[in-house]
Amino acid sequence: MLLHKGKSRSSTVLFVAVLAVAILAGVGTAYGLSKSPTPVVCSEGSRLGMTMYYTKGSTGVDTITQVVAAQTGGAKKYRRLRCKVGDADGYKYDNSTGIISTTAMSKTWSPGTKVSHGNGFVVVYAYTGTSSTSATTLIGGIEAHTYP
Amino acid sequence: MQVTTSVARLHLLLAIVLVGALSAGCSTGVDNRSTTSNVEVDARWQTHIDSTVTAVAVGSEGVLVGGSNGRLEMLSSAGRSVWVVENPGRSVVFIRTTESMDCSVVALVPADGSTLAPRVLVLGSDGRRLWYADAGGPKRNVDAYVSQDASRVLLVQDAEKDGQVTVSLRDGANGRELWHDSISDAAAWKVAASSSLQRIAVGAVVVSRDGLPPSGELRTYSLEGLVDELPLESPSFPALINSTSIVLAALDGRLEECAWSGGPIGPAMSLCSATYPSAVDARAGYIMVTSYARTVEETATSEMTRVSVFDPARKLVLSKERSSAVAFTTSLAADGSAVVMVPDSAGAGRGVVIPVGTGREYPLPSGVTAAEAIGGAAIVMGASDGSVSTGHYSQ
Repeated sequence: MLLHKGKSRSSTVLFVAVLAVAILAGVGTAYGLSKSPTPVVCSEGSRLGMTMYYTKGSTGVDTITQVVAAQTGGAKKYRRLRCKVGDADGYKYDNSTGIISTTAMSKTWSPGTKVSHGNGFVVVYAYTGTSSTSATTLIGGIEAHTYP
Repeated sequence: MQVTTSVARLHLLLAIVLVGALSAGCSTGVDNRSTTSNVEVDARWQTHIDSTVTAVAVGSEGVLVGGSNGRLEMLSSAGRSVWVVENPGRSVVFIRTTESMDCSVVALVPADGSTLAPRVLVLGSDGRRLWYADAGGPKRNVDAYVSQDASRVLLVQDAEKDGQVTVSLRDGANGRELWHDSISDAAAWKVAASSSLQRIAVGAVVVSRDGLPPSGELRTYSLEGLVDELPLESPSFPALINSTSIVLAALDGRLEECAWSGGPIGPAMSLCSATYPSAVDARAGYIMVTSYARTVEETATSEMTRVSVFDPARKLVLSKERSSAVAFTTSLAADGSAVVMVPDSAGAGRGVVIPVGTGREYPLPSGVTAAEAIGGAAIVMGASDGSVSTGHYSQ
């Protein structure tokens, strides 16, 4: 009887564990976490670019109104893109065009951007200040990763 | 947006051209710029600004010129210096004046390295400073308009607190505030006003605090103060105001005419190639929409300036795009007949004037850093060497 009870408890634990793994696997797949994302170097001929649309202020203080990130010239498209400006997240990704856009990037922005590129990702940040070299305060940026 | 009387400007132009022709006849010098440009230079004045000309404004009495060293100089229609006002440590950004030039508003920003706030300076016809107002701090935007009778000045500026914009109407003579209003969470804003300032609209891009896309807000005002407050699903900037409606340029790429009460009048028009409007202007019923983009790639950064013009029937009559290392500041001729595009940085290429009827580009002389088309295929230009000249082009 005790043995029987023990078998039952073990079966239950095993069932719950399998169920948990299955659920986690399902969730992971759904959210793209089933495997570690590996940034890849942009294929030859393709380019990563960011376009920031902005309003020009009358006295030289501009505001980003929209950011579009696109990979051009190559077959690869972004699989995962993330935008963050200040404390506001928000993005829209068109899988068919590989274009990310966001309208949640309305922060005061002065001319002066900095771009760093390497191993398949591009980060573009907008800084306050008159140039990227004299900039002191990061007010926003856009980050894009490509995945195989 | 100031509706100007082109007749008076044409009188001025005729005077300028006459004096220019006479002085050219007496001159032994050669103006090289006229040989390298499709815009023919009629006359040339050597001012004493000793810095890049950053703003010009034309009225019936002459030309008001501003420089990057803060100097303001009034030139008569004969090209003679009438008065000079110095603003050390500051640079002139824009000048708006009444047709008779008896009152002018001038926006000044601090020179490089300074932490001064932008300033709006109000001058009388003799250059006497009537009053001034400073923005809430450095890195703030200001805009100002003066009514044609010079009795009122509209002042819109970023407040000390981030995202807060103040709208106020002042007495033109002494700056006394008649009323004011505040808009919160505004990331960007634009103003449109009738020449009498009896109808004013301020459109703002309102930032969401929870990360959602921004919405829009349109506030309308009369000489007595706030008239209406209208939420907009898509942020829009007011472009043109008349007695019954407001034309809005939306950030989602539509141009829409709305009643003062907020409802749309007629179908929305697509801005076509002029999506994401950044600047709007209207003259003589023509509407100009300008958009700006900065593209950052792995090895290069470039600017794109796109301009579209709609005629009074709301038909798209001009669409131009210009890509370069710098952005271009655009302006619409007083009679709506042409667009002027001037590079933002001195020495960064040449500007152009584009008649909307033909779309043909007429390069401005090299070195031009500020220009205003005054109708009748005439243009006033200021250059990086401090010179001011008038010219004309074919329509």
